[in-house]
Amino acid sequence: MKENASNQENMERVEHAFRQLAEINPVDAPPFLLTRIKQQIANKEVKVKPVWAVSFATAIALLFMLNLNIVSQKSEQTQEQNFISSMGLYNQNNLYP
Amino acid sequence: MVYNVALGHTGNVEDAEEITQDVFVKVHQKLDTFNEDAQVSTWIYRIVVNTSLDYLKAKKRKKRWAFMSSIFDKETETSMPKEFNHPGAQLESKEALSKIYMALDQLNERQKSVIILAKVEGKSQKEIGEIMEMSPKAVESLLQRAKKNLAEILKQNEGL
Repeated sequence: MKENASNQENMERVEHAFRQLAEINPVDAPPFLLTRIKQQIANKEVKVKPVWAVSFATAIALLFMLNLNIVSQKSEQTQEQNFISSMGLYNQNNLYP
Repeated sequence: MVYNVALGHTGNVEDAEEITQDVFVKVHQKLDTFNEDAQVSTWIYRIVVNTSLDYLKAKKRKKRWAFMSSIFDKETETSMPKEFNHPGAQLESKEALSKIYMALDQLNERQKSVIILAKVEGKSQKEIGEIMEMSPKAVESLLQRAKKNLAEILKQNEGL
């Protein structure tokens, strides 16, 4: 009986708190907040761009160097083969084919 | 909407302003990850709730650290908890609301959020479920647990 009364009292306390919370009115955000948010987003963008730019430029440079390396290796090989075939040389060290 | 939810979680203008700024920066950064099947408002609500909870967690950590350093270093300034200054609260109920917010701070994060969304924002259980990614039934049981715990805390605080 006493416990029930205590529970009832507790629940009434919470319901009263909930009623007070429900009475809180919505408010407008201060007008300077929008300017601050715009500024913060702009700052973030400035910070983000160089990272992307640097990583993109590095990737492109690496790709270019790799391509250059492959092309130069191929051209060296073909020059060598052209020389060998023009001189009629045998392209092996095997003495008894 | 964003400012009011943040204000509902912190009960403090300065903190709500900081949270609002963080939320809009996050929304701007994560816009490409937004799932078009979901409602924009639900998505933004979710970001506000999570950002508010993270902010309050970080603030609690800072307060603990300030307390620890004030023990060892008398010259360290301890950051006093910012008082309840919700501009939407009526003057006559400010003191009572301040006590309620103190009690809400002692609840766990999800329980606090569910009370703020249900009672301050007036959201339905279905809407809260979508925001907090829970079923309406889970929201109902979370709200019941929050209510029970809040009752205990209010009772204890009344005795102080």
